[in-house]
Amino acid sequence: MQDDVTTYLVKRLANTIAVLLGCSLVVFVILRLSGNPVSLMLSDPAATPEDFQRVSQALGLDKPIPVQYLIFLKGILSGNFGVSYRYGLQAMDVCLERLPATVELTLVAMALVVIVGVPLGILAALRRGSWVDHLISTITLFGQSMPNYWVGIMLILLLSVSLGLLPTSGRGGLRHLIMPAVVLALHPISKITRLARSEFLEILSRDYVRTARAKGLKETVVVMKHALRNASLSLVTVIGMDVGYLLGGAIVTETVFGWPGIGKLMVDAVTQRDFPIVQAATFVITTIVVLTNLTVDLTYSVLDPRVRLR
Amino acid sequence: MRVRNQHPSVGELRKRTFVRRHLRGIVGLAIVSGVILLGAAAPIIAPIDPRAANVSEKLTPPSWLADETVRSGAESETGHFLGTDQLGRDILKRGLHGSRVSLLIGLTTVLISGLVGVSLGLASGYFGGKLDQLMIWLCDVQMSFPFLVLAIAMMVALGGQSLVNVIGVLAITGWVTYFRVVRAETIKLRGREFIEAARAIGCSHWRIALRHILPNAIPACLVLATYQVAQMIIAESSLSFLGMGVPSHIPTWGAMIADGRQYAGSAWWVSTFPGLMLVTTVLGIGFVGDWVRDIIDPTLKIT
Repeated sequence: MQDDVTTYLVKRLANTIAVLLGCSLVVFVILRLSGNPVSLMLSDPAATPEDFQRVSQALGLDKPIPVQYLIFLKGILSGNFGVSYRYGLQAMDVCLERLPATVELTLVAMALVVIVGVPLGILAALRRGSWVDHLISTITLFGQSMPNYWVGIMLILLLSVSLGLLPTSGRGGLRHLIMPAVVLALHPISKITRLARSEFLEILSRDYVRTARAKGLKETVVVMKHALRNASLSLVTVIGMDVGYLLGGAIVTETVFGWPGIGKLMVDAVTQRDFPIVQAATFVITTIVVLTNLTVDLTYSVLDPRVRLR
Repeated sequence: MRVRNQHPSVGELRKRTFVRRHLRGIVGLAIVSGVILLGAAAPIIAPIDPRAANVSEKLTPPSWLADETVRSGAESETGHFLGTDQLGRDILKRGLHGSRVSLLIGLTTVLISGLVGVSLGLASGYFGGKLDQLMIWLCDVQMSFPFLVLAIAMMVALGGQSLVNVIGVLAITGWVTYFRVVRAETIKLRGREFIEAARAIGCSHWRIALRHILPNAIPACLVLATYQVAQMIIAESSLSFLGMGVPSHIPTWGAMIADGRQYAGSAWWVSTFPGLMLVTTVLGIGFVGDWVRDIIDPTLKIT
């Protein structure tokens, strides 16, 4: 039994490292493709070919590409992503400074997804075919069809501009957090509700549920204790995977609400052609996603031993 | 007590059941066909000059709203049904043109990523080995990038904003789903007896893959493709909203919504209507997707 867990752990870790290397490769390629950094820095027309030569050598750009990648990799491992063109600070430092804001937003959105989405899905499953079910289905359908930035703007129009209830942008207390979090959570909630509903429907028709009911257990016990436990497995996985989605969605949400997180940082950096920041931000985000997936997988393997045998 | 002796005929019942079952699909198809027709006819019924700006008419409200504040000289001959944006361009007309871009991008990206994903999935699942492991690794790497992050980074890499770039970038983000589905199906079928039998009688790998395995994977892919068109349309609009989509002279819903952002307080219509057009289109496609899924296999779980 111990061997299973250890083998799985080792395999999974090896996979994680391979994936992280792959991500670093992608970031590297993307950045090299986006143009010669030297021509960006030496945009002065008075720059001579010798200047180019000098700067290229200083940056190590005259070396063959694989060597450049290795240098890049070494840099990453020591946390060096270059200096931001705009801020004049280490790109990674700037990113890490903005990260907490995004984490705050993401966690709140995630909480909303679990607190709102799951119960709604269960409710829809339990009241299948009723008006409640249809209402929930319609809401989730709309939720998935509306781009979240547009919903954000509409909410701002309604709640901030017309009614003056909430601030339009910025980070602050709870009042600043509500709209962005709700907007960010919209899609994942819709997805989770639908998933929870279908999972629960399937489970409720299974034999052990029939047995529990036949035993005369109260309906609440049946639902909460037995069905929920089994549905929670797949729900946990999906919630874990939604981290990636939330981080991506945060980019747009932060832009709409002026939330000073890493998503907005990245968008601004692209507009300002601040490549070190784009590089660093991309890597930070992907690392978070990879590590989250790893955690989810390991949790899953602890909860469901069948996974380890794969 | 009233006795009901007016039973609907069998034909009537059949008709009702048909409509009830297919209501979503019918509505969806109606919406989508409407959008397609309007989009196709846009250059004819609502011609616009992409670079024309009528600044004197900027930010006029929809013509059906009572004008409390009449902008000076903004009494245009033909009222703007949905108002104008900050450059005085009619929103209804631009919106119709926007549907062209959205549909074009939605369909082409799905086509490309579908073809790539299906072929790679088939090859990878069928032959297995090192190729398969490499492909899986590639999938894992790509899945670690949230969609927008990858799309933005790629747009940065490709330099300029162009229609082709956007299509390419979106297509690249989309192939993974097809790959996984087809690969799973291929692996499942690979070990079955009928495949073994086909090999025994001398069928080439090509023939087996295309003739026997592929048809089993296609239905799921069709359902996926339908949903993905909607996803791609939203994706393209997100990119355009951030200013990283198609060039600004091409009207697209995302960019129109972005334009209206700063006028949220004063000219709410600039952002609202393009968004409504987008939502309607995506909803319609979603209905069609649900309908297709119900027809093909209601138990299909779409992630």
